[in-house]
Amino acid sequence: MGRWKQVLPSLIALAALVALWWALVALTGSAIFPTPWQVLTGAAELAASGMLAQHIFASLLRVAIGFSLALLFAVPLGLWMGRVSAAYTTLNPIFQILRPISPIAWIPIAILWFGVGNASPIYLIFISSVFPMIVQTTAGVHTIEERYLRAAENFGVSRWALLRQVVFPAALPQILVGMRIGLGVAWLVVVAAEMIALHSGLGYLIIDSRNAGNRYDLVIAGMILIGLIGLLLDGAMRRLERMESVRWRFVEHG
Amino acid sequence: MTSAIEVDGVSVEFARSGAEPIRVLDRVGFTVAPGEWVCIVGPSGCGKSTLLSVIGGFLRPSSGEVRVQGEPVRGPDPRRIFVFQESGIFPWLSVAENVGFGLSRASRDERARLVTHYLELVGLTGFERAYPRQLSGGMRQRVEIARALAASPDVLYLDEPFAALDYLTRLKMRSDLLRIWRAERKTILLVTHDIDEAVQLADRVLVLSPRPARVRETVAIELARPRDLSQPECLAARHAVFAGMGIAEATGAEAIPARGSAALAPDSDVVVVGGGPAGSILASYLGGAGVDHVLLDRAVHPRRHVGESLVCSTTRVFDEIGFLDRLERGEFVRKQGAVFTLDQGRRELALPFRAMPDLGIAQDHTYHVDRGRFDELLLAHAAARGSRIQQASEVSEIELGADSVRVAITGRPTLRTRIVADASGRATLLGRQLRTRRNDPRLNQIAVHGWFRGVDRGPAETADWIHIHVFSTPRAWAWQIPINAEVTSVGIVCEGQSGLGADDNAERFFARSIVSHSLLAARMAKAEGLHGLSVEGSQSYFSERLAGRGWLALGDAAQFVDPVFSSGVSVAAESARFAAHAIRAALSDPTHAAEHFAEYDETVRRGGTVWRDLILLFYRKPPVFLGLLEHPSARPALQSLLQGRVFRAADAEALAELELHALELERASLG
Repeated sequence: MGRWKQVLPSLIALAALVALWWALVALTGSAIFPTPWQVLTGAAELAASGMLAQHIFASLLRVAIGFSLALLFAVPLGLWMGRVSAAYTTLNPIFQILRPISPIAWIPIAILWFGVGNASPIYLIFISSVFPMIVQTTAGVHTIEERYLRAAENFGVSRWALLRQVVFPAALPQILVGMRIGLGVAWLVVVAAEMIALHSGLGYLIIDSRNAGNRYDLVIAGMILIGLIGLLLDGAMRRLERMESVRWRFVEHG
Repeated sequence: MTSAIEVDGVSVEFARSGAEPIRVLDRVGFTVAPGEWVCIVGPSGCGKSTLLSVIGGFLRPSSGEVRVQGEPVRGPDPRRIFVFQESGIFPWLSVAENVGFGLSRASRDERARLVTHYLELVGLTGFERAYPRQLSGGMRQRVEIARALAASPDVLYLDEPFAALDYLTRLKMRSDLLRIWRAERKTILLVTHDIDEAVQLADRVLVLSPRPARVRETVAIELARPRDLSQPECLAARHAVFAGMGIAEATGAEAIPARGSAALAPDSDVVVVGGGPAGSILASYLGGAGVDHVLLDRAVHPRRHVGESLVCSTTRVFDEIGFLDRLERGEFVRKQGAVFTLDQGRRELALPFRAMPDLGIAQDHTYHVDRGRFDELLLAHAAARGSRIQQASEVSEIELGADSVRVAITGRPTLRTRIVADASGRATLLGRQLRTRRNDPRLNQIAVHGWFRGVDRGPAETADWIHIHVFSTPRAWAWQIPINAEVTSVGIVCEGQSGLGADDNAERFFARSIVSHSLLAARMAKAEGLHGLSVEGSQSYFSERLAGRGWLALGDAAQFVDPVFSSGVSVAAESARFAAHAIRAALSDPTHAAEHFAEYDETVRRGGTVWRDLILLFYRKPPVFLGLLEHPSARPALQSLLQGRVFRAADAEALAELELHALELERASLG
C-alpha cells in the first residue's frame, strides 16, 4: 500500500501527459505527429517482426562491450592514481582536460580511426564512461579513512592483501557511484553514436524511421524505449549499492 | 626489569606555512616495563594521541626516538597493535572476517579457532556473521580488541578506546579489558582523558602538561585490581593525578571557605545563580531550612523552553518544598501517562503512570506545565519561603578564591559568599569558565516547536497524556503536550545536521515533518499556530565536574540531555534536592564538606548518565526499546526509570540489565 501511495501521483501525472498529447494531436489535426495509440501499434508491429528486439540487443551489446572495457581500464588506473601520488599529479590534469569534452565531439575522430562499423560507437562509449569511473575510483581511494589504512599496515599485511582487502573494498562504494554515472552516460552516447551510418540499434531506428517515410510513430516509440531501458539500467546499478559489502557507506549506522 | 618500551626525548613539531611550527610534544621521555599497564592522561588537545601515534610507529618524531626491546621503532609492527579511538574495524568485513584479518599466515582451521576464541573472550559469540554497522559502539570496540588480541601482540596501544561509548558501556568495557589483561598479560599503553579510568586500570599514570606536552607527573598505583574507586588509596591517586593536571581538588577542611576566615565577611553563605526551576527549588529548600542565601535572577520572563512536561519522581520534591498544592490547584494539566506511536501511528504503546510508594509518592500522575507560568510561580514560591531574590542580576564571573568565593554581577556590587550554586541553565556559567563542559557528539539534536489550538489529541482516555510520535527517520520524533484545555504544544526533534538544511526554514521543515507521520498529520489537520515556531538547539552536554571547592552546579548547568523523556525538570528538581542536602551538610560540618560535595557530584552525575543512556538506548532502535516496555520482565524496571527513578546505583544497574535485555531482543531479530 505504501509503495502505491508513492507511485500513484506520478502515474496520474504520466496519464495526464499522455492524454494532453493525444488531445493536442486531435485538436491540431496533425497528419505527421502520431497519437499515443499510433505509437503503440507501430511499436507492436516492429516487435512482431522481430526488428525491435534486434535493435535493442544491438544497442545493449555495444554498451556492454564499451562499458566493460572502460571499467577494466578505469578501476586499476583509478586505484593506482589514488595510491601513488606521483601518478595522480601526472595524470589527473590530463583527465581533467579530457573529461569535459562531450563524447559527441569525438565522433569525427572516431569515424576517422575506426570507420563506421561497430568499433566507433564502442570507442565513444568507452571514452564517455571511462573518465567518471577513473575520477570516482581515485576519489574513493583518497577518501579512505586514515585509520583503516593504519590498521591494515599495523597487521603487516602484504601490498597485494592491502589492495584487495582494504583499498579496493573501501573504495568500492565510490566505484559503484562511478559505474552508475558511467553507465548513464554510455547509454546517452550509444544512441547518438548509432545515428551515424549504422544499420542497427535504437539510435539507428530513430533516424531511419524519420528518413524512410516520416514514421514518427516509430521515432517516438524508440525514444520511449531508450528512456525505459535507461531507467532499468540505473535501477540495476542501484541494486548493486545494496550489496552487504558496500552498504556501510550508503546506509546509516544503527 | 628491562623495559619493553623506551620513549626517549621525543619531540614533534608540525610545520605551518608562513608561521612558526607548532610544537606538540616537547622532549617526552618515559619507559614501560613488560606486562605493565600505563595510562597517559592530560588536558584535551595536549598531544596525547600524537604521542601514541609516534610510539605506534605511524608518525616520525621531529627529534628523539622510541625503542621497543632496544630496537628503534621505524614503523608499525604486528607485535604491537594499535586500537583506534573511533572504531578502526573494517565496515565491509563481517565480525569474524575482521577478527581474522591479522591472521593471514595462519591455516584456515587455526584462524577459525582463534576467531572463535577471541570472540568468546570479548563476549560476542553469535555475532560472527554480523556487520559492524549492525553493532553498537561498544560491540564494535570489542571486535577491535578481539582483532588486536587475535594477532597475538606483545603490546597493545589503546587511543581513548572507550571515549565514544556511553557511561555504562564504558564501565563494562573497563572491567572486561581488565579481565582480558589478566588472561593475556599484555603490555598496555592507554591514552585517556578520563582520570577515573586511568586510576582504576593503570599500574602507573603519566600526566602530560598542556601543549607542548611533556610528562609533568607520574603517579604509581600499587593496588590490586579490580579497584573500587571510593577506596581511600584510589581517591588519593585520583587527587594526585588531578594535582598533576593543575586542578586543585577539594580536600578535607578546605572544602568551603570558612565563615570567619575571609578578610571581609561573606555577604551570604550561599549564592544561587539563576532563577529557573533548579535555582528556585534549591532556594525553596534552603529557605525552608533557614540557610542564609541570595538568589540572583537574570529575569528573562516569559521563557519559552522545551521541558513542558514533568516526570513522576519530581512529585516528592514539590511535596517537600510545599509546592505540590499549587500544582494540584487545577491550573496545570495532569499527566497520567505516556503514549508512544510508531510506524506512522499504526503501532501504539501506552504507559499509564503508577504511584511510587518507595519514594513516598501516592499519586499516579505528574503535570504538563506552561514553563513561563511554572517558572514564575516557582520563583515566587522561593521568595515566599524566605529567599532573598535579587532581580536583573547577570553574573559576569565567578571567582573561586582560596578564602572566599566572589560573584561578579554586571553593573552591581560583587557578592562574597562561601558556596556558589550554579543554576545558570544552559549558559553553564561555571562549566564554561572552568572548561568542564563537554558536548556529547551522539546527541546533537534540534527542536522546532510551537503552541497550537485545535490539535486533535486522540482518544479521550489518553488525550491528556504526553504523546511521543516516533518518525521513521533515525532519531526524529515529535512531542504532543497538552498545555491547557485548548492549547497543545507540538515540537519536532531531529538530528541537527540532517534536519534543517541551510536552504530550509523552520516552517517548511515543521510542515514537512508533520506530513511524514500520517497519524500526526491527521491530528494537526485543523491546528492553528498561536505564535511563530521556535527553533532551539538541543545539543546534549555534561560537565566533567559537578562540584568543587566552594561550588556546585545543578540543573541544566550540570547537564542537558535530549528532551524525549522529559528529563530536564527531573534533573533540575532532583539535583536541587541533592544540592540542598549537600550544602546544608557542608555548612554544618565544614571539615567533611568535600565528601558531601563529592557525593553530590557522583549522585547527580549518575542520574544524568542514566537518563542519557536510557535515551541512547531508545534512539538506537525505538522498536526494540518499546519491545522492552511490552516485555513483562523488563517493564517494571523500565517504567521506574522512565518515571524518574535514576539516581541510585541500583538504577544504573537496572539500566545495564535492560541494555543486555535489549541486546538479546536485537540478537533474536538479527537471527
